[in-house]
Amino acid sequence: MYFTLGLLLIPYYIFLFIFFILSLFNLYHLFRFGFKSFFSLFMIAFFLLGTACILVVTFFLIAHIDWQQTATFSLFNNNY
Amino acid sequence: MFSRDHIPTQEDGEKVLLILRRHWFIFFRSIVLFLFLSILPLGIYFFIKAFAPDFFSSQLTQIIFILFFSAYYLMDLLLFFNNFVNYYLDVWIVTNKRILNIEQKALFNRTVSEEKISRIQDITSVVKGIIPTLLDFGDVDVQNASARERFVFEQVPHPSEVRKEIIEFLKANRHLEDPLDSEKEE
Repeated sequence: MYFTLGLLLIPYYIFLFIFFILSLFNLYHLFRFGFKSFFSLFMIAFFLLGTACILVVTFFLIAHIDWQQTATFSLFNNNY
Repeated sequence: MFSRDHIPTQEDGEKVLLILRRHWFIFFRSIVLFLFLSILPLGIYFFIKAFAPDFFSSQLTQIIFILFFSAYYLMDLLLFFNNFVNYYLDVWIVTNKRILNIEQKALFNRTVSEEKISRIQDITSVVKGIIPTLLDFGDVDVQNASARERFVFEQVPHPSEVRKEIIEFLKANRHLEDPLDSEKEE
């Protein structure tokens, strides 16, 4: 089976979309209904920084990849 | 955001006596789960490296591995944050006028209920289990006059002290008559 490597990004982008929606709901709840404290602000900062770190590391790990290349996928023989 | 001086639907002259949240141990379990799930992929990576060194020779497997574990770590972080939000938004507030019960049961499931403090009839504290006994946390069961609804402060720290504090407040403020009792007397 042949496909371009860029195809692999589609499920990842769908996941990112769902992730950001759920994150926004969590942040909204915390800002709307939470109590102001160092603990809650620390956790918000931890979550945002953690998310940024994961995305930046992912970006650098996949930055060199040519997404236009085609790959062959077989259950028995991966020829790429 | 709320604060001790600004609680939901605060009335004039209303003072906050207690703001209760679940014991830190309840959230500590989420921290342990988060750390375990964070270390797990490293174990898998070193296991594959040791037993199938050729696995990462293909660029396709490398890309799949990177994207999968990027999503995995984001999910792990989101799960942890969601657990924190659920933990942090479960609050029981005792003021000189009422008791507020705010529970974040899930992301889209939030319950807020309140009762006048003068209607409290019975308060029971319950500490059940080894860890709750060691760390001194448990439930405080508040029964009101109407008997329609019970308020349970779940897994709060020092439940017997909370019970004593509310009872002492009620004893010191006997002038806070129960509206139902005054109706009965008439």
